[in-house]
Amino acid sequence: MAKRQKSSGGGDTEVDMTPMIDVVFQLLAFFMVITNFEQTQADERVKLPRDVLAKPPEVQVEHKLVLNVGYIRNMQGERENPEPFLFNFGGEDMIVPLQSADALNRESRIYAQKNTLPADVTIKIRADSEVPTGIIQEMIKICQDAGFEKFAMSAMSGPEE
Amino acid sequence: MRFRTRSDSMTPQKSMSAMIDVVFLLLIFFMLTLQIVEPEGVHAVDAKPAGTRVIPDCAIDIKVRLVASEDGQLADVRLGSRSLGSGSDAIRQLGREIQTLAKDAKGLVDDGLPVKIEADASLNFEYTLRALGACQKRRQPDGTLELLETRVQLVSPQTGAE
Repeated sequence: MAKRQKSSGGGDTEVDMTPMIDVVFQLLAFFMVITNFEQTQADERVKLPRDVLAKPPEVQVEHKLVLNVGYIRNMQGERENPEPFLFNFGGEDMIVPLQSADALNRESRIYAQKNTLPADVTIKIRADSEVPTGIIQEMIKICQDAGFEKFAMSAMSGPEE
Repeated sequence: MRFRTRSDSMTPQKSMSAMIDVVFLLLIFFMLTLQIVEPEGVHAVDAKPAGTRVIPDCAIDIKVRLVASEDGQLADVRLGSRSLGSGSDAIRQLGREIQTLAKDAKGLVDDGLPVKIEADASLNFEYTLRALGACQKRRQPDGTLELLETRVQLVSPQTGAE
């Protein structure tokens, strides 16, 4: 007498997918809500200074060019190169202020080609807390020579460490 | 004769696998592109091209001098010829002084008290930025920030040029 096998002989069992889909949708909604595409121009290598008086702007400017100025650091946070760099500008890192003038002039021409006056573009400077002020002033001067007039300095909101 | 309706025999099921695939792809995309960043604030700087006078001639001329030590730390904060000390306390004191001056200058200047910050070239940028903030904003007792009626400009201490 043939013995009927217990489970394989019966109908197909289906796993209920509903709770998994619910959870996945919850996760998807969560990540969609907290993703901030505004910060994509920020470079994480820049160690911004902290200031209790810095607060996020209430009105976003229409045209904004972000300059990330900082040092190349190792895992311990020590500088690997004594020269400050302009990070990820036009897809490359360059020493400031020496190599940045051409790149900023190029950006200025691109804005002009798009019928946007460079004077209407806000230069947002995200500078490392240890960059000498003289370097930032030279960067501002280079930007002014390229036709930019509006400047804003970034800082982390919060008390200094 | 009774016809069997379609619903009696079987319920048509739409395949969910395509939707689940897309949802998983979206989920992975958002997970990988997520950047956890702290909120950033900004301080505006009054700057026009060289040769353009930003701050017109005015009876009130506020000069803030930030002196650096050899290692780029803040050695002294001077308001005019008066020393306010060094460190974070000096910058807070600077903020209080500028606030008083801005209040006194109300009506005397058209669009805000002109303040020129002269920072040593070797000074770490964090001190310049905090001085910039102290000359522009103040924290109210309820924690909100109030904009002072000032126009702050960064100038080079050697030449006094922008």
